[in-house]
Amino acid sequence: MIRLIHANKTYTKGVRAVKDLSLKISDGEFVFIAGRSGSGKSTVIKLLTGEVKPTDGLVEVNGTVMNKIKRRELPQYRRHLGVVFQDFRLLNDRNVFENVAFAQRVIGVPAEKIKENVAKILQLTGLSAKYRCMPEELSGGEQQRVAIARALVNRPDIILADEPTGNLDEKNTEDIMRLLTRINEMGTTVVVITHNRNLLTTMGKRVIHMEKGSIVGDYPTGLRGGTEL
Amino acid sequence: MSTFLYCIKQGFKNFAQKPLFTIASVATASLSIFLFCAFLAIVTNLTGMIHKAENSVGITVFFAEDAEEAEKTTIRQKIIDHGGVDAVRYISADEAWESFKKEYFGDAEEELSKAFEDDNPLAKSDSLEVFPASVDVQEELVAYIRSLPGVREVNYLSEFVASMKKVNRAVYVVSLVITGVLFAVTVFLISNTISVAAAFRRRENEIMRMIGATDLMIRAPFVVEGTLIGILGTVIPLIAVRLIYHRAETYLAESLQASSGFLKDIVVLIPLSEIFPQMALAGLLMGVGTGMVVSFITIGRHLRV
Ligand SMILES: Nc1ncnc2c1ncn2[C@@H]1O[C@H](COP(=O)(O)OP(=O)(O)OP(=O)(O)O)[C@@H](O)[C@H]1O
Ligand SMILES: [Mg+2]
Repeated sequence: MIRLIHANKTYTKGVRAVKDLSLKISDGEFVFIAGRSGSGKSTVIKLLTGEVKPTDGLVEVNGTVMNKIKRRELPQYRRHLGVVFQDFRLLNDRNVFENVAFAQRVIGVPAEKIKENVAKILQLTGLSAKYRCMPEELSGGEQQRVAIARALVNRPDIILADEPTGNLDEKNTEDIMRLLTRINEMGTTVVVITHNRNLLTTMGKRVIHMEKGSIVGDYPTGLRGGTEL
Repeated sequence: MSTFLYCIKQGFKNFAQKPLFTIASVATASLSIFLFCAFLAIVTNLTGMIHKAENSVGITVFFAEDAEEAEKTTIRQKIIDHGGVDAVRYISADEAWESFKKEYFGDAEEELSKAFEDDNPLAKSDSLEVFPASVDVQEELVAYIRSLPGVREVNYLSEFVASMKKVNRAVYVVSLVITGVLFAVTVFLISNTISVAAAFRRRENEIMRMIGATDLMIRAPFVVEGTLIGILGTVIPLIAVRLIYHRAETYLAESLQASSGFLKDIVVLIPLSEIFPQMALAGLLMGVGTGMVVSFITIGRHLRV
């Protein structure tokens, strides 16, 4: 469970990116976070990954209090998260298989196990045929699927995706969303930041609307057609 | 295990990724370790030679022409009683002649002894060989012996030892300074190389961190790289030092073969097999240690920010 209670984040230059924000996301939920540029969406994700610490208030993820987490505890904590970014962040000098296997090597999985696990995840993400391709040989959608495969391969409890479809066309966006939905149905909590209004209205998933660092709307089954953002 | 191997592999990759930086680091490391070893060899040998000069070349005391046996015994006893003396040995005229013949005439000895028959040309040169406990008491001891009645002449090698000590000290200081400067350059270059490697791997480090890699794991490839630089930078100069030392040994042995006197006994290089293990150990500790520590610290600084 993800829990933020009166959380605040003020950056060093005095920017109040998150203001008095309270939010609860249960295990197995699929949640969109939407809102204008600069409204603090990415900062919320960074609070959850431990990249930044809350200035005050409580941030808690699956029982871990992020306010108090120590630097040396972060690696272990992050192994329960899968993080996906708009710009994919793949290693361009390594093929698809290696990019995914990388995540397993980092946490010390034995080599034979890595092969098995990566093969499974590549199958799930529809990349089995491309496992030897280099990132530059893939379409944007495929690259993002590799990034998702990498985030998934360590079987995280939560997937955090910061505009995962920001660089993708409609068809690829649909594919990625279908994939994330499937992962969610398998029990993983999914949090997706998006600007794509279409997704917010058609998928019927919970939408959290942020404005100037605070939540201004929470729609449990998605936006209605006419709702202003 | 797979993580460990992975880190090593990445370290090698870092190493190969920017050949110019790597070569520069290895080259300076090699140069500084080479000079370090060379100086170590020189200082060790000089110290050894000084020791030998101090110990094997004692003070030689010649008696006055008219000295009686009893007087000689008294002188001997007085020297022993004076203290600061390891041993006093009486060299009879015959012994002196024997060793003189051996040293200077070698194979021609037989004929010569015939020519001189019983007429020992060194008849009056029986002497006492005094071995001082240390070179520090030598001057004082010599002065004392000179003051004894019945002593004609006292020979010793203080000037030789003193000048050797001076040379030794100079070499020591110069080598410390040069090695120190080169060492600093080496540290700087290794640190720079690691910084460049960190820039190359920036993205990878970020991803690793996000995935949950520990600091140690993120650092490992860089430390492997630094260690590799250290190993190469040590092994290359050690091989060079071995070859050069061996040549020096042969050269010295050959050129001193012809000469005579005490130099032949004193100017002998410590055998390579005796000096090399320590040298290799010191070199490896310095080279590999530097590579490891510098890379560890450098990458730590990059990861903090
Ligand atoms: N490291 C930082 N230091 C200082 N200010 C920051 C930092 N990161 C973000 N900010 C500021 O905090 C505010 C919220 O930023 P954030 O990235 O969370 O917005 P966002 O909702 O993700 O925007 P976008 O949709 O453009 O990605 C912005 O005003 C931004 O300028
Ligand atoms: Mg953002």
